Amino acid sequence: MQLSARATALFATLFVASATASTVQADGTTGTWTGALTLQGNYYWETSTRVMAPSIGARLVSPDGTEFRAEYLVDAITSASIAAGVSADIRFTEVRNQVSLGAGREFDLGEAQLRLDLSSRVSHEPDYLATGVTLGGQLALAQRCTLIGASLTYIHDDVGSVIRGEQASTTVDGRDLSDRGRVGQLEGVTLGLSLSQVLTPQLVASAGYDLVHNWGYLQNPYRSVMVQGLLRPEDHPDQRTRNSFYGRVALYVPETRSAVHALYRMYVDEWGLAAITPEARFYQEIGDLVTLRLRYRYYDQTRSFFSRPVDQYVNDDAFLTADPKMSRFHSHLFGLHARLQLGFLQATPLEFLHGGEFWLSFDYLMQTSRFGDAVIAQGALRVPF
Amino acid sequence: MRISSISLACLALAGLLAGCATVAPYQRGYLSRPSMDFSSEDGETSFRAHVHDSREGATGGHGSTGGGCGCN
Repeated sequence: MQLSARATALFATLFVASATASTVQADGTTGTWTGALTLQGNYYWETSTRVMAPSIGARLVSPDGTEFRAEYLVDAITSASIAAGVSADIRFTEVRNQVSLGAGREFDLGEAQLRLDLSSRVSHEPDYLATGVTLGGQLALAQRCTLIGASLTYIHDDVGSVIRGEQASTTVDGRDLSDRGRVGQLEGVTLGLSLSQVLTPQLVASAGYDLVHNWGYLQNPYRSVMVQGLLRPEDHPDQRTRNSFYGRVALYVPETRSAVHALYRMYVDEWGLAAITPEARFYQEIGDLVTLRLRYRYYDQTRSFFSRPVDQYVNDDAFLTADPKMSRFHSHLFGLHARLQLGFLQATPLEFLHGGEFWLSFDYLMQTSRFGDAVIAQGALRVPF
Repeated sequence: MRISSISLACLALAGLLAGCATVAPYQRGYLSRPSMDFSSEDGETSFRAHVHDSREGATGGHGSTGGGCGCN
């Protein structure tokens, strides 16, 4: 499994390097290839968990308009969490490697334009292998005032289990006894539909619907529930159909060079869990290079039909959960974001950055779930070439 | 909550379809500002979606999460 992770990392590095190299070559012969390189850092903090996730991504557009994308992300998770429902608080660090590849192209149909896109993703960590492929299409009508989108995603995950928080234990032939191997597989299909409409020169709106159906191993192998004095493993239904509707309206106010976005999402699934997520964003341009964004997001969910206080399960219960995500809770998120265009670097030693941008984002999340409050911090540098 | 949610969705869709007037490309200068470009925040949104996937019951299902962080 470790070899596989290294191979994945090596493949991603080689892909990005070769993609960059091919751009230089194409630039020299045709002068028409374009692209961008993005370096991004992501950080997540909560009482029992720290996540650091740097990533590098490349985007290339060929002379005929075909777009190629690649991204490599490393996700370092420190400390398991009793808040996540595991039976004991065990400190550990786990690394997840993720590679995403994609390609897309737009076809001119005369009065309309059709864009087709194919992307895939592989994510690997010692106890989890996730794979997915997405086929998407977008039809642009009325001089691109109307965008109609559809996508279909299939995922297949292999769920494993390892023993954590102890010294590595191996047999004489080198087999890792902490690795319990594969405990199940999870599969899913997602159908996405979306509609975006330019309403006036200052107003645009969009709406969409996602239908997700998951089946297979839908619980967490590390969580267990005390049932009448006996500890039993978490057991969720093996199917879940999920529906979400979302919408967004954005208005630009030229007098103040600001923009207001209102977002709303509602969700319901067959486990009896429903949620609403209203959100507001305010953007303020400062000069020609800086944009600030303030953000507030509220999230409120009901509990699933089998979620109960941990001491109230009985032997006859068909399903058991210690997952905080299955309980009733709500959260408030406050965010600040700053984006800086690097045009001021022209005619300086850093001129190669002058078409790029740099942004920083900080979110504070107040949750009433067992996870507690959290911080999300992100930053990125994007350099076009 | 389900009925009101569906009503809101229908209302939003009707609003969109009612606004099908064409705004010419040369009139869309304001809409091309970074603050009006929904896709300009894709990179930021991707990681945040992963966080919400692993901490909220109403997001996820797309396979972006793993087992180690209690995400499943």
